[in-house]
Amino acid sequence: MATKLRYDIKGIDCAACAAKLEGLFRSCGRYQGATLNFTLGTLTVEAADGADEEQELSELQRVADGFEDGIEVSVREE
Amino acid sequence: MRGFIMGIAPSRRAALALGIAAMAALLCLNLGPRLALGLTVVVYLIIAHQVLWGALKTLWVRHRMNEEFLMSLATLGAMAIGEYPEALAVMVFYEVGECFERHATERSRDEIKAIARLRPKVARVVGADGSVTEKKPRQVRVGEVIRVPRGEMVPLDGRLLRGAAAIDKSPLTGESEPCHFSVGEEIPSGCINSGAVIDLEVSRAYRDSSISRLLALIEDAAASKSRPEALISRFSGIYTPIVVTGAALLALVPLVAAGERWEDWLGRALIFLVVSCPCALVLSVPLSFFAGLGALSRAGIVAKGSSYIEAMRSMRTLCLDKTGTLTYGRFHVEGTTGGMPREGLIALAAALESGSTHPLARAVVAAAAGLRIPHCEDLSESQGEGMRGRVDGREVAVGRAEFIARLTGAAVPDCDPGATALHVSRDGVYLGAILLGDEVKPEAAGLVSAMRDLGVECAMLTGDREGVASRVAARVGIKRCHSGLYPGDKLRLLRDYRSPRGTCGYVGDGINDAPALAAADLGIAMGQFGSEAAVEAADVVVMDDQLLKIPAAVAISRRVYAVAIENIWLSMGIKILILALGALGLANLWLAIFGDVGVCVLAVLNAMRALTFSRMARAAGAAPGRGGELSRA
Repeated sequence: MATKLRYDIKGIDCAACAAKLEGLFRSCGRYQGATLNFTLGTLTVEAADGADEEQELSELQRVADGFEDGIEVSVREE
Repeated sequence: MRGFIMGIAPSRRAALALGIAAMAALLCLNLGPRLALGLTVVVYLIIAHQVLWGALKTLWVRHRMNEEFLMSLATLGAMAIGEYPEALAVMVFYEVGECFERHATERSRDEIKAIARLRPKVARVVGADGSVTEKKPRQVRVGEVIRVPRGEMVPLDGRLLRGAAAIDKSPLTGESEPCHFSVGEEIPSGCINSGAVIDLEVSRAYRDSSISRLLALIEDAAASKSRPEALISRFSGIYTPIVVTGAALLALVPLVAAGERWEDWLGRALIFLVVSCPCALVLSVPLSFFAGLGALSRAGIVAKGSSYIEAMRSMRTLCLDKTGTLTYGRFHVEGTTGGMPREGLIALAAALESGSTHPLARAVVAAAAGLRIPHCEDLSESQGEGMRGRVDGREVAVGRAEFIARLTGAAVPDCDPGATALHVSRDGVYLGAILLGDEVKPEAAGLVSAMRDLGVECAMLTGDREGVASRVAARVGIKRCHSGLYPGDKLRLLRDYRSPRGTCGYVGDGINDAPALAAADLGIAMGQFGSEAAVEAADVVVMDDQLLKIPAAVAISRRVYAVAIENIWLSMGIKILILALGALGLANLWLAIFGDVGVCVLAVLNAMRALTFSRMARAAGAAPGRGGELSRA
């Protein structure tokens, strides 16, 4: 059973880049699934059960930094 | 338009204006070669230094060519062959296009988040001493008491503690008619308190509250992509490499073909580079569906993904559950049969049925109000059949005739075929039946005729006996009526109704509908009174139980789908045309700029149109039974 973690994501240039970045999140081996909603600016990943939101955040930020400058992933402000 | 221009940072606006002025000067004035080159280089650096820098950095650090790199290459190439105004234009319009894309996505984001904008920010917690403290909704624990002043949003699901409340559910359902709640009833979060101050006892943590669940539904909608979207994302992956390779090949033509001018072929290659971004497609097609999801949710219909817009559009058969869908599902006990006194039989049945959410069970429990209900042990439910348990040490069962007949070993006596009967047995001995009646919703007939106008045939699937079922079917105008079905039979019928020509939808709300909702091509749950299992299993949720929202949803979906397909043809058609003309040397860079930015703007504007389609649902709600209007709309 995977847990869904939700993040906000900002600073992506265009829809085509968003699709590429989503592919990177999917193929980084940590998550069973990743959905990047460009229009809403949200990122949902399916992480292993008991995964820590903050810890995954730094991992996601690392992947995003490897793709392009200026992308910012943040924990959902509720 | 004004909002779009004001959305660009002032310094960028100045740079872009300078670019356009320089472009005009180069086109209109005869500046001489030196001056023209000087002006172009200076203005170019002012507009494009960020793009150039970004391109170089991505290439250097990440060994990847991004869109900025392709644009830089195209503009530098244009300058190399002396097309100065074109070089500036490519850069200026590329930036304008980027800003427009951002503006468009932000606008639709705002529209979609019309609910999220109202996301509760604060909860007023009432302490034991009567003091009020403000907390973030997610810090409030179940069982605490919160106060909601007039005009504020209910931040968390909670039971009303005192008095009555007038609640505006429009953020959740799109329906602005205020709803009345009385003491003990649960008010869902996300609603607006339109009456006096109310106090609620929080019944669910913020994470599980109705507003959070709704937001999560809308967000996750992106995960289930429709076929056109999946096609686009596959296509865009290969489009850019193919076009860039094409550009490289064109640039190399003068090497193999003697007598060709390299400026000419470089110009053709540049056209390819400028139209190499598939953004018009990649943005506008999902945006069409996304705006469609937004239009639906504003009409009080939540689709859990754009693939369900596609499924709704091609629906050919709509199967409807009877109880709670075509009828109110608010049964009341009309009488009892058998030798036992009425009260005794009802109290005995209520002992078992208090553990079930089935509408029949609720009616029995309601009829038992004021009676002494015995305690029941080892309660178990056979879905769609009945309940069993032990009361005062004796084996009691309540349920359908077949279920009870199996336990008593004999057929149950006949009852009035127009009423629904719940039979009761104890220790394998038949005791009698409780007769219940149900009322048909007034808009049910309107739904059936509206769907017929849309070319969708309705069928009724019900676990009820034929007598009751055919009476309801005749009243609402349904010709195909399947009665006496178990959950398994419903699944088989749903499979049979599925055809290559179109999908089959299923509308239901009861607990025994969850498998059918999940199995149908398109499961539609009626949200307000529906059970949670049903809302969970469904693909589309009608938030306010309005049956006429279903034909509206189908009509909206057809329009949205048409817009998405239009966008595919629009952007692909123009791009392929420009590529073809470019390869033959019949296009220039101005046309290519139109093919890149112009098409993107047109496709995005077209996509945004879908946001306005929610009006169609309002038209349907205002005029019950006039579904014919929808099919022509």
